[in-house]
Amino acid sequence: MTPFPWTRHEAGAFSKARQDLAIEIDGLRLSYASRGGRATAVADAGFSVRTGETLALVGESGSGKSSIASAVGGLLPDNATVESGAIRLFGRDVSKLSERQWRGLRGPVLGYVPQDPLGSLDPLMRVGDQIAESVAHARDVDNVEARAHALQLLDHVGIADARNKSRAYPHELSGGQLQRVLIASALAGRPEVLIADEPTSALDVTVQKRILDLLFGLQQEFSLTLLLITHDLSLAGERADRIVVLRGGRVIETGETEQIVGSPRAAYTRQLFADVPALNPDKYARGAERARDGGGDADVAISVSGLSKSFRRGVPAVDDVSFEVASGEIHALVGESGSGKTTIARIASGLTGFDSGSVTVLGDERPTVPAVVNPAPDRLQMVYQNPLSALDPRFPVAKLVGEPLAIRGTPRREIAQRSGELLSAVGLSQDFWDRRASQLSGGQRQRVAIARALILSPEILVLDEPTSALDVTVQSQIVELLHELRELYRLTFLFISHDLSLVRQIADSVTVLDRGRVVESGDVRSVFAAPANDYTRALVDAIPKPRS
Amino acid sequence: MSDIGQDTLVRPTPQTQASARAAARDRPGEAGRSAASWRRTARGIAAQLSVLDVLAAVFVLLLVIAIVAPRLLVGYDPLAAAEGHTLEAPSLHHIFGTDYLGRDLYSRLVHGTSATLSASAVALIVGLVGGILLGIVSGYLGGWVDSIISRVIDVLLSVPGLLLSMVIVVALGFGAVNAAIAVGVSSIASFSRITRSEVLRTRTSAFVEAAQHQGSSRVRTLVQHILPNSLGPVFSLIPLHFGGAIIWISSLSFLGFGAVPPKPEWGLLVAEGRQYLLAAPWLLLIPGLVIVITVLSISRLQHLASALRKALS
Amino acid sequence: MTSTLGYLGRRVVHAVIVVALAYFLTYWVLFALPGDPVRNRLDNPQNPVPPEQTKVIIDYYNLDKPAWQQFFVTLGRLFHGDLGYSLGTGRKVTDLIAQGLQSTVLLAVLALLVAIVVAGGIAILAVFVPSPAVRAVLRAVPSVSLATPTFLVGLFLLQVFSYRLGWVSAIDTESPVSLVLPAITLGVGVSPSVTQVLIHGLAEAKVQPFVKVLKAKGLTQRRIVGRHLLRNGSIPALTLFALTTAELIAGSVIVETVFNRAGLGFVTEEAVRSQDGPVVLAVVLLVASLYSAINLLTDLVYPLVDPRIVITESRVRLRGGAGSRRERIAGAAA
Repeated sequence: MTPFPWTRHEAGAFSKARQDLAIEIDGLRLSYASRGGRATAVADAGFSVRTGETLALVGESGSGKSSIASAVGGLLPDNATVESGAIRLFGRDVSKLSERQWRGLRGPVLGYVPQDPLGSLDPLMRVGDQIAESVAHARDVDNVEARAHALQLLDHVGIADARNKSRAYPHELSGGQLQRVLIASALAGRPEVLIADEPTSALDVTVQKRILDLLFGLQQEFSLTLLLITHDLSLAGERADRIVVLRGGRVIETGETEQIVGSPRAAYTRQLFADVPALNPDKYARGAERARDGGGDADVAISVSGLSKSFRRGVPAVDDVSFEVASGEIHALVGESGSGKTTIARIASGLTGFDSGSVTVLGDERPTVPAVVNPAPDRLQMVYQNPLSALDPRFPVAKLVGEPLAIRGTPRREIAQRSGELLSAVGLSQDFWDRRASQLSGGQRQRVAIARALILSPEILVLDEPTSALDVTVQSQIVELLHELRELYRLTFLFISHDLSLVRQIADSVTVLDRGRVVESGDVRSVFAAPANDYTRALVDAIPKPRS
Repeated sequence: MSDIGQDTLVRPTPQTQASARAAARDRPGEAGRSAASWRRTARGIAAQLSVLDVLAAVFVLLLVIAIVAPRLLVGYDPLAAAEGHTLEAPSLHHIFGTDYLGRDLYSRLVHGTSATLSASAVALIVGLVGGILLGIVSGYLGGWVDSIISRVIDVLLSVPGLLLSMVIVVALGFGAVNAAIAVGVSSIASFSRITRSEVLRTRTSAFVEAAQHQGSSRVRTLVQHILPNSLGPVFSLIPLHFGGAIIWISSLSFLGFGAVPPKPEWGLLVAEGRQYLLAAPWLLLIPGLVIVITVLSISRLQHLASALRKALS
Repeated sequence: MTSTLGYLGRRVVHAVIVVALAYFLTYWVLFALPGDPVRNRLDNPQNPVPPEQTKVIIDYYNLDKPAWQQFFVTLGRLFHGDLGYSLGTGRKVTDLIAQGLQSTVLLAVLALLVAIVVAGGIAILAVFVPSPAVRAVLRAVPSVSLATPTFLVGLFLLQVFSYRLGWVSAIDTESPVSLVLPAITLGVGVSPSVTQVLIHGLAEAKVQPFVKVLKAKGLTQRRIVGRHLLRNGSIPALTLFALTTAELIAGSVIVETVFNRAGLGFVTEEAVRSQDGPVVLAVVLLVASLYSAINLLTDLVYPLVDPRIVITESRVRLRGGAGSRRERIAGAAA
């Protein structure tokens, strides 16, 4: 067998060879070994990436997209095996390379941009040194030269004041800055191919846009081939040349972006796109109209006026916020992280106190220091962002849902009956009733939390990012469920979200928050169609717009 | 205003049926248990066990018999000296040999089981009860109560266990019971720390807040949510601490501060055997080995217990 | 900078309080509970004290005066550096302790080195060796070590290396060679907890997201482990430093007894045996002070080792905490 000439010098000769196809996957089968046996992660995947193009691997969790990306980079964990199939980089089979051969590729040929900006850097090492480490290895230069290159790279990726920032530790930088550092590190060896594994899913939406602009700018500049892994279909639709849709380890569909977005062939692809809020802004439009027709003078469910709260001296988390939620409507609080939206939701729910202003819920004013035990759980209930932590891990589902009634001393038979009704209403059949939260999926847990919140028949539900940790399909199911329940019980929702397209789809009115202040407020359609404020405009612009 | 009262029934509408189908499609984490899977559970438990677990269980069973009905296991009187049969090596008559007074070592070991293990149990209970109470009080109440209790715990921690036990033994006098109390007090600190941190973690968790958001009173929340979730991890450490107590008790006895001769006790046996290290090394090694195997078996039981718990849940 | 000084001040006060409380509680346990050791000692039939000495002792310890007064007299003497007299030997406590301290400190330092080498070695192998079977076996080693009492290890080593093989003399306790076996015994005795924390720390570090990125940069496994994982994984073990020191001193009681070495442990053991309250009290004071001092030192060193730890006012906070995967990170200066 001919030895694999993956020395850095020869690796650089690739660009001369300039193959047509940078990456080829053929009949790939991948499995992971765990205590329960072997689990197949990728069943039969095949696609190719042309040199210089951007291909998006799109799928929900468990689709195998990350595994394929890792396989292409030789970064699979020890318990993973490539059982069959071929992976070719510029025509050469890389599925059976030794570690030493892979090391020759990494840097000069392959670059990798990970998902989690803070966790992907050594917390004990300065940021500049970590980039210098990449440079030193990839270009085989000494430390001094590597540091100089690292500074140049930092500057090139848009970090202002590169010299000082290079001496920073990872925890001292923001998410966006960290992702720029990671991109710089990946480009240190002037690679041909860049694998970006969900590079922006942990970032705020405006930051996301800037980082993607940077990434694609660099792609143009260095003629990179970009393999983009993402769960976000609209992002793929906006930025990729071609899209591969994956499900359960299999390729469902491949094609040019315009074709996939405009006229998807596979049923699954069609369903995926139907579930994406950004592409279906008017799905629940009838609800909004009905609310508007329903009565000009609706009662006010929640009224917030001049609300302020600081956690640390001099740093207001909520700064003079005012808005109103009319009875029966869905009002959304929208903003990026640090905007104060969760704090406001918690204050409205009576879970956190506040410093000044007034909060009135169904006619009752909330005290500035709330009681530890909620005196009126039958009026307003909160649904938490992370259902796993909000459900007692030792209680089975039926007991969780029935607990609010048990607290009030309701007789057991009635509790059982009511819980049963509500669990059916949220779509959980009896099989689930004696399971514990850890045995349920994310969507099922959220259903349990919703059932529990509704069992006392409250008038208002406060939902704190109820779907942000869920896959797009599951998200749309939960949104659908919430919509049904709202109709059925005539509820009022205070809906917290960072996802603007979701808000546009489901909410009647919206309040936009930036760093604790209200930036804009009003009917959802008007705010999105014609934002009056620059920040709102930036938020709206940052929503990916798929090509068609 | 909503007019949904408690007597409004929810009829499954076509939409909610669609929701039900959707929920069923939603991938579950693990399969739930149905009534007809007991056999599967038993097989599952058996699969988790290894040879070591079985050996450990058998050994512990022997220990229990040794405590409850020692006569079942031995023939000789542990205190009966037999002149002319001193320092005999292990043989068919005396499987572990005899000591310097001609007493059968095996019998002394078996009878010593009760002394060592009951002292260790007393120590464990003292430490557990004291530690858990202090931990709950300081973790739940917080504030100045927490500060004061934490200072006391810091003090207990700043004096290492063996030294602390020795201090208490100096104050109370020697003897097995006092040694047990001493070891118990010394282990209060570590139980208290763990309990406190678990109580703190649970007290600030989302599901406790959610329970109170639903109207659960403080007492009810404490009893139904905080305690069960925080004590679990503490209890799972019991076998480990029981083993530790055994080692401490036998160390104290070895030094001469615990059990009083001529009653047999494992640490004491090692101390006695030490004098004859050259002539009859088995007198020392065998009791020592028994100590090690006992502690290992008990910690192995912990592994077994968690496997059982996992299989049954 | 002032906040650091403030923090330092608070921690010093805290340490002093703990030591003072330790002294106070020990004093009362020893001298105030029924079973007054001084009385016990004086009345001890096996080792009677001549009447003239009895009078001297009673005078010195003010046994005829109320308990509180006794305490303050003792405390006052403490601040003058007078720790009292040993009830068993009649010597000054300060002399006794000073005499034993040197030998024990040497033993403890050596044992600490042994512990670090053993714990580090086992932990690194247990986490990074390719074979899962070997890793499983190594991970079980600390539990076995915990199950084996220190005196047993010492006696076993004595039996094998001194009596059977004759490599090390069992009688000579002054030479440097005589330190070997006791140091190994003591070091192995305190190593299991350190090993376990190291194993846990290294295993955690091994699965951090940045490891994949380091691999993707093309670094060798050796560099990843040596330059990145070792530092990240050993930080939690720092917190054990004070505890391990205390354990070393406690362990020296047993080890010095087994190997017949004269040192602080031996002095303590003798003191307990003869119910010698003043000596025991002095040892407790010494150990508590040492523990608190090392604790303080560790707290101060920690932020230097881990830049994420920030000292603000009276609390130590973890800055830039890692969020969950879906948590948004603010992009203020992106």
